[in-house]
Amino acid sequence: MTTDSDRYQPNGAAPLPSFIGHLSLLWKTRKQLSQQGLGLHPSFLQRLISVLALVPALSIGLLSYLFITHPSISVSIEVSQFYLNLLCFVTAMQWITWPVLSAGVEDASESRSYQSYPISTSRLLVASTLTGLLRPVGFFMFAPIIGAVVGYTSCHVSSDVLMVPFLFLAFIALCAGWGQVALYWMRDILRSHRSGQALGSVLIMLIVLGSLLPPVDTSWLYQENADGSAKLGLELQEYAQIAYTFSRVPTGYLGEALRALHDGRPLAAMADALAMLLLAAVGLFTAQILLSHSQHGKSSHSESNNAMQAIFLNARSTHAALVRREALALWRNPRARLLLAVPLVLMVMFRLFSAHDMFVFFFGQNIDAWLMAVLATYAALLMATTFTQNMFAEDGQGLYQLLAAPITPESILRAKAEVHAMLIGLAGLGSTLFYALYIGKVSLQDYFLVSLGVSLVIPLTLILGLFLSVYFPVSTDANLNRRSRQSLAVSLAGFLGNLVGTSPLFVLINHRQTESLYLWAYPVLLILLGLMIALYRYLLPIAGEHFNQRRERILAQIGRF
Amino acid sequence: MATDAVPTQSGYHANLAVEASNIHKGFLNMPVLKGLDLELQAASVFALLGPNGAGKSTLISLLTGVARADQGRLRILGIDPAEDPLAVKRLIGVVPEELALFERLTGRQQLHFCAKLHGLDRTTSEQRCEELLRLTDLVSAGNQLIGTYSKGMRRRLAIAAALIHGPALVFLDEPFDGIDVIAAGVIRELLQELRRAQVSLLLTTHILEIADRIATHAGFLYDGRLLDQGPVAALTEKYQRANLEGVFETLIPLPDNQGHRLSFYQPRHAEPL
Repeated sequence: MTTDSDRYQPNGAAPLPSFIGHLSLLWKTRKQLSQQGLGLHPSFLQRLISVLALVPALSIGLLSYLFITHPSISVSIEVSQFYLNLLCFVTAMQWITWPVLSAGVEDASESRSYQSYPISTSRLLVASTLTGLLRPVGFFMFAPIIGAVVGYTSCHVSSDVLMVPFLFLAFIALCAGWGQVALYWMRDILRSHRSGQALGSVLIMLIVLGSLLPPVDTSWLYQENADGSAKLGLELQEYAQIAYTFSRVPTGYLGEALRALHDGRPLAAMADALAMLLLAAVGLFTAQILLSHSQHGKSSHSESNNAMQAIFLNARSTHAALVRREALALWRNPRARLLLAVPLVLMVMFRLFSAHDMFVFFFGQNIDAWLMAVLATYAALLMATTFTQNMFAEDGQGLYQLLAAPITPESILRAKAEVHAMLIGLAGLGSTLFYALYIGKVSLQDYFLVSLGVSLVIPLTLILGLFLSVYFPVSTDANLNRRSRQSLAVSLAGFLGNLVGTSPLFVLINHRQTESLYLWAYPVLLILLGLMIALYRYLLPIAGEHFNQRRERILAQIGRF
Repeated sequence: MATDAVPTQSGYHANLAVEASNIHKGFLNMPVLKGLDLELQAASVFALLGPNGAGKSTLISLLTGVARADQGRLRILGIDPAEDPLAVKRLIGVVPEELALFERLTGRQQLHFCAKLHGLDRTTSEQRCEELLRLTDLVSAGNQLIGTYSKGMRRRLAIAAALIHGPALVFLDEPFDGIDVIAAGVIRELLQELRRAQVSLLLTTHILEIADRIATHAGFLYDGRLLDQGPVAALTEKYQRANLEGVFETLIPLPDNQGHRLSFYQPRHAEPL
């Protein structure tokens, strides 16, 4: 007896796409998705934006090339080697830690979405990893090392030059493989219902370690020659030693391989390339294990705290309830927790690696206010660009409830804006406080100057955030299963706008040679802050009106997953 | 279809919970509702039936004030939602198809939050929350994050959230979609309870058997228009069919693919089916 299932079969199964075919499919899908995210049809404007996005990467690459080929650097193979190996290390670390620094922006949705199709997990992982390299951030991160490798090759490699692209690709593979490990590892941490405790524990451990461990010795920076003049840098032997140290870790294998080509040892270079490829494969294998591990069922999470359960019962008004809901959503958002910790971790690293001393050596004693301002602004903008520019992202279908409730759209926006102001303030002002306490090399006057300047970011980011959220809403799945990214153009617009807002602070910091500056700097910043707040208050009802008009589109966009 | 409702001075029929006439709505230049007329008697259970894409969810979004009609006249419990949307929203409850829940709240917090949005005081909120959790069989899951809930649990919670302020009119978009028999039973009981309490209900469903069992009135939506509406008994009598499923089959044309076979499949064995 035959059954329906064995009676019918497709009329000859079509051959599955090749690896290149899959690669091309993934690449085209990514491109189409990014075009949808941009809200534009393929047009001149979109192509222009794509080209413009490459300009910074090309500039950095060119700068790196010019630096490494500069006569004062290229005159010595040891000095060139030092900078090349250093850059290899920095590039690899940047790429591998990117999932952490961007808090899972580069999500792993691709690997989950396509799993039901006839493509093996390993091929999907490799194809996804390779296509991921071709996104704008990839160009930006690899541009300096491309410039440096080309420059180093042109100055120091005369034979077997054709091997260089292969070596470079092996290096990229190494970075990409371990970048995937970081991505899945980070996603697992973020999705764990104990993510808050895990992140908090790591942060506290880092702070304690950073306080107990002796910072890197930087006394060599201040060593003097026999005649009493400053050495102003390293001796060749020291360059060679540091370069050698860097080449002992996998991220330095590219530099070591290029050095081998310089020395006329192509086999050694080949061995380095193979080692990098092998390690890349180990990375991908580990990523695959993490990926399959993370697909196991979701855990349940109970909130046993009675006060938290009654959080809305205690709210005095509807507005208070709206504020509490938004705050609770951000509090329970693992990405918000992670991003709040990132600037603090950077500062701990700052201390451990004596980066502060190096900055002082190169830029002078007055660098602290700059460093504090840059780190605090970075912390504030990290929050603003991730959350405030896309305020509805994590509401999901809950936004429908808000729109169906007897409250005005403006009141929804106001509550969101207030919570986001607190979040940005916490990140920015918290960072200034942490810098002052932990690094501890900043005057009280500078501390207040920077804090006031960073406060300027708050109303400005809110204004930008309100309109970008209303006009370019992007959905984010609360379980981190899927996430659409805001388009590059929108992110850049927000980032540039925010930078403009912080420019008064940096102008003032740059001109603070005299004590009298502080006398008028504070009032200037206070007036600017007042103006910004007034502007925000003026624009909030307008944004509310736009929200009301666009509510159907926003709902369609946010609820779409 | 004509009603026997009596118009008041403002033109509103006092016994109508929903009165919509000549409603047009489109998305991205695609017309979804094309001159729809609808009347929902107060204290009735109205089953809005129609195939996918007929415009049922769009209509609910319009009736609940979440979306705006491009054209037409609309009155919900005697109030024009375009003129006073907040007044309408205070009186209605809605359970959209995609369930309006916040994943990062617990079930209990979600209900408290809804209660607060409708201005309920602490005691009433707490009391109604616990009662609704009991009624929807969610007491033990009340302190869990909604993100961890199953589909049936979410749907029951969404219904509880829509009822916490005691609305006079409730819209339920596909309340039985994708849930198991147990959850469906809980929801059915809940709807019967609302019916007993004389709450006006408008629900959409693809499960015509349930519509037959619960609804007092029905309307058939197809291609953006309401083909017919009225009391269930009157409709079955009018079309000489035993139930709503029969009326549905009479009114809604079946897709033109009956008996079609897939060209790229062929029998593995020679014998005919």
